[in-house]
Amino acid sequence: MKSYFIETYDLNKWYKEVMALNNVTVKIDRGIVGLLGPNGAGKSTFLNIATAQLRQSSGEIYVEGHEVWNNPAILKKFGFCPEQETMFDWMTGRKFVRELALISGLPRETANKAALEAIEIVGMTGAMDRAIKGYSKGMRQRIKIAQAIVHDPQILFLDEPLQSTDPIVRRELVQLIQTLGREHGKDILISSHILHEVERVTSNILLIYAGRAIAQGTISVIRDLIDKYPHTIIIKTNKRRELATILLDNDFIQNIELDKRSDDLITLRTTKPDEFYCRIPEIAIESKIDITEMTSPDANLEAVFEYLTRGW
Amino acid sequence: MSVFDRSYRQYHGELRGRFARIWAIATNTFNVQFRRKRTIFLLIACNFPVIAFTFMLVFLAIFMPSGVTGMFFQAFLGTLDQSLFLIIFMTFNAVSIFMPIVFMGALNSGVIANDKKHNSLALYLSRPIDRADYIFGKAIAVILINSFVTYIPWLIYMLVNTLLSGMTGAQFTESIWVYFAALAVALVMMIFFGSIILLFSSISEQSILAGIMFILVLFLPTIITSGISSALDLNFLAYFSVSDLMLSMIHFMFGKPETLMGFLPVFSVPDIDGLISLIILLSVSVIGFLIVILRMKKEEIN
Repeated sequence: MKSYFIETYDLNKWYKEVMALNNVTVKIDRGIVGLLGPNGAGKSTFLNIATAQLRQSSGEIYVEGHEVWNNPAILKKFGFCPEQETMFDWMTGRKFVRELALISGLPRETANKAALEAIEIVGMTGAMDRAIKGYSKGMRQRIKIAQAIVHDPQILFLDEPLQSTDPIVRRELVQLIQTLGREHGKDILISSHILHEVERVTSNILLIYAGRAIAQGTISVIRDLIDKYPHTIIIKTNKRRELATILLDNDFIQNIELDKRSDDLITLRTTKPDEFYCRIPEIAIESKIDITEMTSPDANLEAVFEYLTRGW
Repeated sequence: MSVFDRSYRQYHGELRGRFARIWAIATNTFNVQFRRKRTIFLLIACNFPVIAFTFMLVFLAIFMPSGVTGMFFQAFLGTLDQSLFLIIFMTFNAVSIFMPIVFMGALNSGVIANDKKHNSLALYLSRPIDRADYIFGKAIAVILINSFVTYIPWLIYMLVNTLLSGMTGAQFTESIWVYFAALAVALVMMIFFGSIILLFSSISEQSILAGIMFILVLFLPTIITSGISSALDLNFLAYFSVSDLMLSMIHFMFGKPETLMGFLPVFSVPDIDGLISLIILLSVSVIGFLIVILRMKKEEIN
């Protein structure tokens, strides 16, 4: 019998009167899978149920054929990168990763080595002896990924791992996730509200909207629909005028606005997000402009989801 | 040889067992709770009686002629059991019990509450640990922290007393039971206070709120019932006073001394049954601990 990465049958989750997941029945094959949906769609709830943080209100969920709630044996195979940024802020990155390696059951000596190597993989060696409270958002994301892979889990759950990272780190993390999935055979469930992020990691996606699994499979059809809508991206940089001038020379930029509330933010719209995401690391390197953060509000994606679910 | 292969750092060894993981949680929690500098001030305030007595011993040992040191010790402080008994009474009577309660509340109130608040609970519980093991780890950390206002200072006092009082080998053998009696008393105290603070910490996401609840629930009944029972001569009310339960339990566990010698003030033992006090304290501890485990088994993390 075929063993799926994740199987759910009529999975429901209520928070009092709010239905976070609504009869979700899916069979997800092994490999890298993107969990895509706008904020509040139920992605984190799905991930939290799959990682035994939450218990479903009704229905069934199996990860690699096993129930997960109160099943520490299956948790041995899990690595989890939560969305929230607050953690042991007073600890150094190295201590944080090492402590969680110890709690995972790695022997002390091995935990030290494993922590160092996991930190090296995510490119945080230079900052590993600084307290986490001094880390930027991107650094926090990377150290969270380091703790998720430190004990070499077979299954990785990554909740918005690319959120708030700068373009260069984002590219490195995408490469890392691809390497873990494709070369080392890890099963990875990665959630995001940005199609183009997920698309660079995998073509296998599960679309969630308003607590329902609305589509599953390849990304090509949905991306055609999404590309018709202008994609909004917010960039944080110390040289926003210079960056805006450079970006406006590119055909893929529709327009750029300088944020009135903050003097380091620009909001741009593009109808060719693929091209934008591909070019932006090069632009940052060539122009030596420091891009500290890049976020994509999901309003445009939400519009597409509303279009897709019309008539549900 | 590296524990990882060349390409991806794959760990090939066995994972450590259940206790090692519980211990990792305990040490992690202990380090987190003890990282604040204010802890040392709280510790000194809570342990003032034992610190004062220990310094007195050292002072006497330095300045008294060696032949008369033992007699002075006896005259001023009584025997080892009497003096330790007195120290515990001075630390845990109805008024001064406030300080150890504050210490235990301040240091332990965040053990679970902060994990919930800062989302570290998700990091812990996504590891291969049973939820009960998480609580066991936290409980060990809390008990270790509580030992800093119970057994550790008492042990230091007992060792200083034994070494400086000119005790003979026979006298030491005779008084060795005090070490074990003190350990038993300390264990009951550490477990009782530990289970109550774990309970409050698991209920609230705000460590300050958990700490305040802990202090109020333990200290208010103590001070109120002490006042009422002494005024109206209603002895049974002492069962509602944590201080009286503790003192009665200590008296029961020590068995003696019946009277306190030396020049220091004598505190009266509460007029309630020591065995019942012990049973009440242990029962409350077990119930509190079970509630915490059951709550954690059902806990959902958003």
